[in-house]
Amino acid sequence: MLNLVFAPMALAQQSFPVESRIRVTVVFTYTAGVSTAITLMAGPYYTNILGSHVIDACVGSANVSLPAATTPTDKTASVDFTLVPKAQGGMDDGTYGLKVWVDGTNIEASQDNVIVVSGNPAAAAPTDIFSSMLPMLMMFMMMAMIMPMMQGSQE
Amino acid sequence: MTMKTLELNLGLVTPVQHAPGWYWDANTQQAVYFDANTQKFYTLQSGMFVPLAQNWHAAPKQVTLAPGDKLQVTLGFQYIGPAVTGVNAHYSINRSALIGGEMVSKDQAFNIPANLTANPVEVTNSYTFTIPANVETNWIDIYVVVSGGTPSIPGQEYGYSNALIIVAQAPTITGFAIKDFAKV
Repeated sequence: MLNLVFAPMALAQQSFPVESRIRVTVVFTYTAGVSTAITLMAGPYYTNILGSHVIDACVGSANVSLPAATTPTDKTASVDFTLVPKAQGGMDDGTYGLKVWVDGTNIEASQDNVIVVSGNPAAAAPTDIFSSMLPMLMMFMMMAMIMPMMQGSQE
Repeated sequence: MTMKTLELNLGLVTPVQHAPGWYWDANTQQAVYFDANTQKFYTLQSGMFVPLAQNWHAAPKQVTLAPGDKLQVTLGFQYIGPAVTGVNAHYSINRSALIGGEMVSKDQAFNIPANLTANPVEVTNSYTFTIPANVETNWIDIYVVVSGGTPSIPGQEYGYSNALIIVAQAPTITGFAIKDFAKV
């Protein structure tokens, strides 16, 4: 008998209107020989065949103080970021992952498909269609200029 | 900052001099050569004289240290013989598993009082390291050597591997996880 047990996601998926400010809370354990500080970074990411890509325009950061601790010490910290609209170089409506990392290290935590974004201004759509069709339009215009010249040379 | 301690026991030390030449080491079942100039034993490997491996031992305890902490290392040995002046105690903190991995060290002279009885007496000597700011997490071994003096005593070396747990300046982070996220 096939017995499948699905573990719940650590984070529940949530929906936000674009331009929302999101606060992410992280937990970790640390030791530090002297009092120091780290920079927490957070932002949404999308995934395609080339891997995952953080949307730079949305990334937020926060400095976190770590008092000296020679024994492992639990720490809770938070960092804010903004869901910047596509028109401002940010994100389309859609579903995104959430990634938090410590700047300058390989320490990170992430989870796919937890942020659902909506409410990008509709006016942005025609602009996108136009920019995607621009190369094709330019090709047609060039052909329209070249074809009469080629016909003239055959005569 | 706190003071931590480590004690190292060098066993029995006597100022009896070995004559230079070949000896048979019953423990390792190999011939060893004693050199009077360096006061050390060597093995002959592929035509080269190689000093016998340092006398490393598993540490009986681990001491957690951070930059600025003080580590007092105390060596001790049992002694029978005449008074010896100017014995050199060499203390070092070493990087793990690296030949020539001495990171900080100190040479300190001390005297051994005469003990002309049949019963060994314990001789001790200490040095206190201040852990430097640039300490790294692989500085985990302690090593001591006593040698020299007048009359000279044969070199006695002793090391503890994995004796130290270093909490370096750079933070070490584990268990990093997202707990929650919400609109603010």
